Amino acid sequence: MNRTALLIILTFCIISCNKNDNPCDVLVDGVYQFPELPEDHDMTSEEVTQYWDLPEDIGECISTEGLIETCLNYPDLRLIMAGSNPQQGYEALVKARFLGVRILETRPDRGSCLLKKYQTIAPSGYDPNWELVEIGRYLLNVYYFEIIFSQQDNLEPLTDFEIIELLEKALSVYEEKKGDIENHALFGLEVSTTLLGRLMLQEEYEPFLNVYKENKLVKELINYYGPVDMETVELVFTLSKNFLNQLKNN
Amino acid sequence: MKNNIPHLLTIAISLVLFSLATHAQYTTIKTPTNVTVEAIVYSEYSSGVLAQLEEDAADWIDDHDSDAERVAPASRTYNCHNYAWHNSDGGNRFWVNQYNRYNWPNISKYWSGSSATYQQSSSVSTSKVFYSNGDHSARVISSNLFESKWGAWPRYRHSPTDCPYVSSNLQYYKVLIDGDDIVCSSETYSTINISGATYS
Repeated sequence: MNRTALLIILTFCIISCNKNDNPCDVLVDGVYQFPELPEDHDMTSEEVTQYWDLPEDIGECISTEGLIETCLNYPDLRLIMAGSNPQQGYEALVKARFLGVRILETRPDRGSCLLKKYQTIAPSGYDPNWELVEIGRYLLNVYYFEIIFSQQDNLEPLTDFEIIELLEKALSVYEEKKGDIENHALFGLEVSTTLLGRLMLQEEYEPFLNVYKENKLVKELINYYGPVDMETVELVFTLSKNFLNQLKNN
Repeated sequence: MKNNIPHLLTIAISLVLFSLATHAQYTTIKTPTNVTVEAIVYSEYSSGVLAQLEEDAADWIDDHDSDAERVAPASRTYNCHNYAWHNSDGGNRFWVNQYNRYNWPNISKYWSGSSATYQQSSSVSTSKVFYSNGDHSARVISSNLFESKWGAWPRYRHSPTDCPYVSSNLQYYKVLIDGDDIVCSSETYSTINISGATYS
């Protein structure tokens, strides 16, 4: 009798321990689900920000792939565009509020996982028959991803082979956007060339370093995603193509 | 020599493009006391992106239970600093950053230096406010009502803290007026000479 009781208690303990030990059981397909705001809530803006922040225990157990999707689903990722420039928006209005992007920047496999995600992105993969606002949403989601990837901390762990793959992908994204300039406008090109430029800066590609030191517009682009003009984004694009050729020939 | 050709070509192309690109987007504006401030001419977003920015901003207002009232549409052609310090007084729309391209102070030229237009005030009944911890500026309508542009998002009327920016350590600025605080019959006051301005 005592043995049976002990077994029941032990089983109960194991079940409840398992339940408490894995906070990531709540994830759906490995992705954190942001809670819906209650109807007519009376939370302050700070409370809403806390309500949507990634719980620390989830941050510890979520996969990097799931974390990337979670960051892209973060409701206030939109604040990137409310900053004095997209870099300031990312740092002061998103990164300061959201644990998810801060954790992502420390994950050892972040470069590989971001590259894998980038390979699936088609900058003009929207349906031209969509409503204007839906097209805008699609485009902004592409830019937000590129802005996250182009953070220097996220580019840092890429291997030599991954750098070649990223250059190839970003160059093709640039060309696709340029072919659809009416919808992407100059800003779409600025985001891709910032990613390319930061990569060349990190890899200390000398022809780019020389231009970066002398050309204030290139510096502005790399630091803040613009403002520049068509000539400047084309310059960075050309230098990136040369860098890719150099890497492939070595 | 053969190996150097692509490198030399790159340099040649870079120099040509460099000469075309430099300063193409920068311009200057003047403070009321004629101090030069760097400004930027931004090309506008596509209409789809603008439509989504409007929706994003409206959703943020709704989600964060904000009482901010939209008064002008989203745009990449001007920002908070330009609106507060220049555009709201009749100047043109540009993008103006806190620091210029050389990383030197830019908008503080309005309130510092020997030709400053404004001086800092402890009173909230002033004309401009700078969010020193939030890289943001606003026009002061009343002590509890500001008007400001939120990055590329629309322009809003809002209370001092009802916006996405860190609103601690707000710095208020007013146009300097010299004269007696107490008016008995008639007093003489002096202030800076702003071209085209009316005084009442």
